[in-house]
Amino acid sequence: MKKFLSKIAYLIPFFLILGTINYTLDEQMIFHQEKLEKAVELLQKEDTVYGISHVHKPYLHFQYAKKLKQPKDVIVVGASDCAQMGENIFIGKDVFSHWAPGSGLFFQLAILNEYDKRNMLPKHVVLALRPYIISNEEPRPLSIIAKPYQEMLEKLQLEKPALEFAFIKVKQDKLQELFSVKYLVYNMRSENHDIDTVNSLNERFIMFPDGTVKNNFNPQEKIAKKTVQETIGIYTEAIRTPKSDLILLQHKLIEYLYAKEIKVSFFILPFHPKMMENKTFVEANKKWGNYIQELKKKYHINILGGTNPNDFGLTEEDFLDVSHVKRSSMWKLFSKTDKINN
Amino acid sequence: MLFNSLGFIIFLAVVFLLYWFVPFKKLKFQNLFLLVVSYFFYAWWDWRFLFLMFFSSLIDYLIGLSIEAANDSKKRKRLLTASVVVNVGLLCFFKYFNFFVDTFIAAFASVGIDLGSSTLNIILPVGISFYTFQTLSYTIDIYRKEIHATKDVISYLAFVSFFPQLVAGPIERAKSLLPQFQRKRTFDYAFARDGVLQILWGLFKKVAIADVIGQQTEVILAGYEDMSASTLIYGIILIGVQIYADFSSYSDIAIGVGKLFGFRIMRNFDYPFFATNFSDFFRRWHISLYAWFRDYVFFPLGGIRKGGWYLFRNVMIIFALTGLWHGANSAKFLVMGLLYGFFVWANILWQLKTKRRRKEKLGKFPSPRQLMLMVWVFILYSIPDIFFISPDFESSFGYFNRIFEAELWVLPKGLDKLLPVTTILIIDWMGKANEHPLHIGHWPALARWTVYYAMLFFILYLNYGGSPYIYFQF
Repeated sequence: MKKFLSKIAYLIPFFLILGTINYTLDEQMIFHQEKLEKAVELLQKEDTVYGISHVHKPYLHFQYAKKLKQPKDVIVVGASDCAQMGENIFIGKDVFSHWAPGSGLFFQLAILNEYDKRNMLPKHVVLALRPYIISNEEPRPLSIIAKPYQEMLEKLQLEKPALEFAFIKVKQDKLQELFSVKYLVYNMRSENHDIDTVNSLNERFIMFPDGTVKNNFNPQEKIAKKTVQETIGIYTEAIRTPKSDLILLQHKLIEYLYAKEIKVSFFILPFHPKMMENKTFVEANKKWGNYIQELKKKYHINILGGTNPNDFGLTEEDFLDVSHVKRSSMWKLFSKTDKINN
Repeated sequence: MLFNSLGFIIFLAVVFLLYWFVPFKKLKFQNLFLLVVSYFFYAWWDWRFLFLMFFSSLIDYLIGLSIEAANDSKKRKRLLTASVVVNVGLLCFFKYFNFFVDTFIAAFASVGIDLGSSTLNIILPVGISFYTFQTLSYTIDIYRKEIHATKDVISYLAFVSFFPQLVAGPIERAKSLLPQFQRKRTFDYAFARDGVLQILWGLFKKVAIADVIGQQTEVILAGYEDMSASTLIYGIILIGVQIYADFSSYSDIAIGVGKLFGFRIMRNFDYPFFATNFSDFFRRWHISLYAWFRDYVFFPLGGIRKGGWYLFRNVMIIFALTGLWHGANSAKFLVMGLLYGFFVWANILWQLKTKRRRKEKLGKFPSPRQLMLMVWVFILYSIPDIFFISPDFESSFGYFNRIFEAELWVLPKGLDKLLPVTTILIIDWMGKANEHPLHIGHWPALARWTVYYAMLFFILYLNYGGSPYIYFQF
């Protein structure tokens, strides 16, 4: 048995080397989040920044909120659906878009709390609204969210849901990244991403001073049926299984912001036209539409965008992939928004 | 808990260490431990069906004891019939109920009588087709006086639920596996080492071969209406290799895990792509299932002894049953089975006429004739696989129709997937003399460890959170 275990121990150097390389190179700044402070500094100086990896760091957003000296006119809080919601949309306003891939309601509460603590809440808050916001506690739980989120819950006089699970997941995720061969290959293949001011807009991983990013990758020519089906599955499931405590949380947040005399809008990015060809999904979407209408009616809230791409003349060519609209097509959403929603 | 998931690796490591390091003084405790972890493993899938498995096992345990105790042959037969009825009844209910109801409703609808829809939402318990056949073989073997019924209920339940082969086989026989539960097991370094290597090979086959090929076959199957004929023909080859790599990888891991705990589980695949005739192919493919039907159905029916019509009947019954074993939610499995049956019958006839050897000896390289025969066997195997892999009968036919309608002389899509195809064929060929190809103990240590590390690297790099095995649906 000793011989057997000693042979198995031969695997240890493999993982040690793997972990060391991943920790040292760490192109996505998973283990060296402090490097993002430079990005915050540059962004607040209104510089366009190069080197912020496509995995957008919530850490950056919290640092941004903590270090902001002057309140913004508008802040947008959401997931990647808000990656193009900046000064290109709110023309002439001082805007910052806080978006982190896959983030949900917990992220919205936590970011807003960072501003609230310093009396830096803006005049206008735009919150992303997707079905999973009210069905999934936090698709990508991150340790950085936990404290400001819990503080916000206390302000809203709500009991905390089971966020402890998120801590376990965060540690597990970090450990997996440390010993991940995929991350090793990514690290070895990536160019150096030292954060700095951009020299040319052709560089990759560019963030504008308003928090939006440049999508300098090629749009998907044809969306695979399987991808459409999977996305439909995720959204249908989310629409069909809303959680009452999350709905309550969302309503409390709106009331809290109203009490502070802040204008609140919801931003809804339309679904891909291929998804709207699916009858089951169209049926589910009606239910989602009803929820949006209820919110609108109850709070007289402003809705930007909508679920149906046809309402805005968006075609497949306006989409980067199954879930995202191209930066150049975002204007279509706002040229018709008033007509449709008001 | 999939074999290719982190959860299983942790589970296996913990169970392995507890199994060998907790000093079980009595064999009974060692078996009890295996029983508990096997039930835990099964409950991880769906705890509700634990009771079903326990019930099915217990019935056969009691019937086994009763058959052994009975002297009257009629009584023995009645008891065996009860075991068959219970096991097949459970299988029919969970696997075939909806099919029968739908067929019944459709038959009435065809003469204008509408019975409405009364199909139940029945969930298929994981592994039911595997453990039911395992317990059934136990009572049949006792009836045939090939084994004695055991009074040790713990070892018997552990034999039925042994976690490595519980969900997707191999379908073990009591006469081979049960005695292993009844004798003390000590740790054997060489045996355990071989088990680890077989697990490594199985994981590599699943992650780096089957799943990589699967990326292309999914695209082809989902969009076959828009594909060229050349891509669809290429797709048939890919599907054939994918199914083999996927299923045999599960068996390799199961056998490897068995070895870690001191058990020798039967082989389920013996390099089937190197068979030079179709009968030989089915002696190498899903061995535990086809051997089960051969021993318990084909031979009792008369096997090949009578020839003529009886031979045709016997072969077709076996393959129809193996087809149905896969499921009856659509006629596609039956059609697949019957096609295989027809090919095997034609092959047996040809062999009987020409008196050719059943199994050819393969050298270092195959002769051109052997190579052609292998390709021929592969074609015969892979065409009916479209019925196996397609979601329903209609899309299987749609796939074949499209081959005749679409453009042929264009380059197939996804030719890069030929790399995993050739990789598995070459590695299998090099290792065909052994149970698995990682018998490379005679290589220099540096070369060996380079191979192990490289395989581990590809497993970790290509693994996307554990994709399910094709045979889990059965």
